[in-house]
Amino acid sequence: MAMKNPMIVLSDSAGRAGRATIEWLKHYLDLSAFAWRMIRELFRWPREGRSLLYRVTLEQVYFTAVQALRIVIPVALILGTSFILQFSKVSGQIDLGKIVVVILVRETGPLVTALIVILRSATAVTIETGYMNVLREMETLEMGGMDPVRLYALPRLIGMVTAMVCLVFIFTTSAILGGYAIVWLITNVPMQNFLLEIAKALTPADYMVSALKAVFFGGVIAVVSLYRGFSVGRAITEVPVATSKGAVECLIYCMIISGLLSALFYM
Amino acid sequence: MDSKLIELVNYTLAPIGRGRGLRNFSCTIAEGDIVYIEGDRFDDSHLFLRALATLERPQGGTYYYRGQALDFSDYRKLLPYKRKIGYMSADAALLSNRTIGENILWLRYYLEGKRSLKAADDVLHLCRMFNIEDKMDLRPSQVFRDEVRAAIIIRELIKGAEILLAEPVRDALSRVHYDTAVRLTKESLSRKTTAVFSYSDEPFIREAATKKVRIVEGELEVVNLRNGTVTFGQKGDRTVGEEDGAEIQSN
Repeated sequence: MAMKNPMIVLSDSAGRAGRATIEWLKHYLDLSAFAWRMIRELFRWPREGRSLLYRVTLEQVYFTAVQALRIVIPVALILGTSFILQFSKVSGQIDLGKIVVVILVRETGPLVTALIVILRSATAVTIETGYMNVLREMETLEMGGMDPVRLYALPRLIGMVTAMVCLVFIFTTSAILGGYAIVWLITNVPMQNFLLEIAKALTPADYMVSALKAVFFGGVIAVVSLYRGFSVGRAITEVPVATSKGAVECLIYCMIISGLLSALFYM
Repeated sequence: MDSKLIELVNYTLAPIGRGRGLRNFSCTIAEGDIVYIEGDRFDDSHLFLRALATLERPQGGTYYYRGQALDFSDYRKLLPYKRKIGYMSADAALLSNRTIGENILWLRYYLEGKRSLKAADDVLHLCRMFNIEDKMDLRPSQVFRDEVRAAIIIRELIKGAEILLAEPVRDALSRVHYDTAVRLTKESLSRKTTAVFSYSDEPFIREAATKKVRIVEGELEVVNLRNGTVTFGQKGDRTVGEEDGAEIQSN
């Protein structure tokens, strides 16, 4: 077998790396530009179309938050119960409250909620947006003089951020209170002072981090899933690819944001 | 003299589908003009219609709407003009996540800012004509294809557009719906609505037409049927119509 010239191999590799870097940069610049455009739209609030905007936003809150409750609450109860049971075995009563706050309020609560929203809503938004592009429904909005970013994307951003904040609060509360109730009802684990310990362990920073995570997760999930949906061209086969890439991207960004915010507040 | 509604100057469009694209043509549509397109390829006729609807970004040339040059660099700047254009083309769609009623009334409620979607009498009258008044609560995927087309026609007719752009819908509409569509089109034309049809197989269109756009191999010429004037695109040096004393405009 003929050996390839090392210089050619090197230049091929450099070319591939260069192209990948350019693609990567282009993607992040486009995504940032799209996010910036949405943020600017948030502060532009013309009278025209406002009632429709409210309506579509409320619909999004309903789809993302209200409809997700039947998944979020059972998951929160299961996780809350298992965490409380497990940690009660390895810690004394004094530490249990602190551990539950660290694990459920600061980290797991927002992340698991984000995962549920990604699985349920982010994929749905990407698919819906992608199909609307393929079927020229975005053009339909434009032909009515309506800006798809304002009338379609912005309500989804506001709706998903609002829903995320509500869901994180519901998840954490259900996990702690529901988990406590279940453990107290079905086991012999001593649970005196548990709620008092949790109340003592919670600091203002915990509320702040939890809320910030919810806002950033909601924003990132909305922007990425919409961006991926809008990137779909004319082929219907692009929709599943965009959905899969969007969901993975959302999850990675949420984990990075979670790590950064935790580091910022607790290091 | 007719006032110019749309003017495309030295316009060039990249091909779509199996078309040739449109090369360096100029075309004027005045208020009250009724234009039909004769093309050798459906894709090119469709492209011309999409260009008029500002849905295609030109490779070159300028689009003037009532003398105002349009800026294609930002789609938001085109939205006020798009609203003035009734687009009943083959690729016009309904929003699939909204009901038929919401689709028809969407623009009205966007502009008027009302919260409830209740159809006005004029809309109900049109829905009755197309027999879809009992399907207003259904989504487009739950009704027949010709009822979707009917809803698109109603939506565009109540839009108050300054120009209507239409493509053949005979295959997409049942006989009854097609007759209704023809009747409504005739009514619109009698009110001096400007219209461009990408078909001419209906006698009333040929009779009412003031201009004909002929597209052959990506080259476009506009024949003014009132005085025989021919406006050429790329082949500006041709002298078609000279023998009839027709004025020839070329780029």
